[in-house]
Amino acid sequence: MADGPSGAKKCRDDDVLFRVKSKEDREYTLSKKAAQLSGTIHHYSENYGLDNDEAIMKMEPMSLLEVSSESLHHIIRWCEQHRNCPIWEEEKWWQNERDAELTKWEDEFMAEMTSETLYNLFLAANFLDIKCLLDKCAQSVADMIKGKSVDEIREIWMLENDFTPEEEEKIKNENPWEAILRYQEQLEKEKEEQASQPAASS
Amino acid sequence: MNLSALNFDVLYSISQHLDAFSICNLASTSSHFHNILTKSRYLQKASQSKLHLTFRSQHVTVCLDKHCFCFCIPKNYVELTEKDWTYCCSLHIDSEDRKILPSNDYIYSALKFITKLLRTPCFQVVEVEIIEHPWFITTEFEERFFQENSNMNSISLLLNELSNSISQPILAKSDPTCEEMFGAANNFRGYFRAIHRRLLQSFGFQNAIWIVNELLREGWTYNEMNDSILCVLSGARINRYREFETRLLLPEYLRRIFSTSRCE
Repeated sequence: MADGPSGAKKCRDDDVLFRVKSKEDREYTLSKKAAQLSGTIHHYSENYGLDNDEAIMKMEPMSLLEVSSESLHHIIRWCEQHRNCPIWEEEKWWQNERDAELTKWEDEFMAEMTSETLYNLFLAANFLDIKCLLDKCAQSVADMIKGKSVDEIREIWMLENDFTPEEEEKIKNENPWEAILRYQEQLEKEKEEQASQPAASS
Repeated sequence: MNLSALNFDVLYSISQHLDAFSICNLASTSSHFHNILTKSRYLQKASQSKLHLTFRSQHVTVCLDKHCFCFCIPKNYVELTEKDWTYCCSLHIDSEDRKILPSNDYIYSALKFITKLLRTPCFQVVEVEIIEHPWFITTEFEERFFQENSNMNSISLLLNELSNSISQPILAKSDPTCEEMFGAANNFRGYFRAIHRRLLQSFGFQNAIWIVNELLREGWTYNEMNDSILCVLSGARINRYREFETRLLLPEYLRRIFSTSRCE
């Protein structure tokens, strides 16, 4: 697995390490500071008395049965990079002044992701309740949707159109932009018809 | 990525980054998204979308979040085709840069579009700003609407709103000329409206009022104006007026034209 964007932060020797285990039973460690970004880990720590460094150092690895090794690798990279960011409880973390360098790193990080990796990372971020990563993943997916037509979204995301023709018609009527798009289609059709008329008459 | 397999929470977090336009499109892709996105909780974002309708003499602007649609009535217009106009509507428009001559179909389409927006439950109309009389929404359009769209409540609300504004126009008080023109317009509503509509399509609202006022001072009757204006504005001659952009020049020019081409 790639190490990711340049300048990626890693655990330091003096870090208190939190142990986690992927669904493939592979163990990883991340610094206590990085782990604090996860709401799930936070609750786990509270429930298992991991409220001091000594307890954390003696802990058994926390099993993350819904997170693959690949996703966990990326999650740890993300969390280490954001270890100095406000912890998960901070609801308005995104309003904090953003570091341009960090933003650049995030963009490079997301650019590395294939759609499959992004999808798994998204689910993992949701499971681990890492707000900043969840938000970044949501932003990336949303960027892929924005400005696309219904058909384009279906094509990109391989969505099956399972509406009946009647349902589809009804839904089109619900969509306000359909009126203008339909009008445009109608104009084009009329123009084509007009263009073909002289040729037909001659 | 199987987007359909994303759970509600994840989908909700995506929707936080989507504008109402994209949410509508996503909801139209499959029954899964339609079911999720049309549930009130997941339309929270869209329901917070701010729909601004601004009616001015020169244009109607519809802004929904970052999407702005401008339906223009000409002032310094450039000639665009119907297709161009419709295309413009789908862009983020700098409304002052694009002046487009609308046909009745355009206006009808604009009104239909606005109606669609109003009928969509996820959008909340937060502001209907009527700066000047929306003369371009005429009885003709109302009738056409009700014929084609029975059980349409929103448009009647809109039209009520508009007709209220006609009796109490919202004016830019710092612009006495505008106020003066409205005074004239209100005095002669009815017949004036028919005349004005034709003028409006070629010159814009303020110019039209000005022209009519000028002609009234000259002693023209409404019948005369109506016929003459129809006569003058018909056919290719209309192109000759397009270079006259200011309302000061226009009446003078019209008077000269009318004096030679007055229809009896």
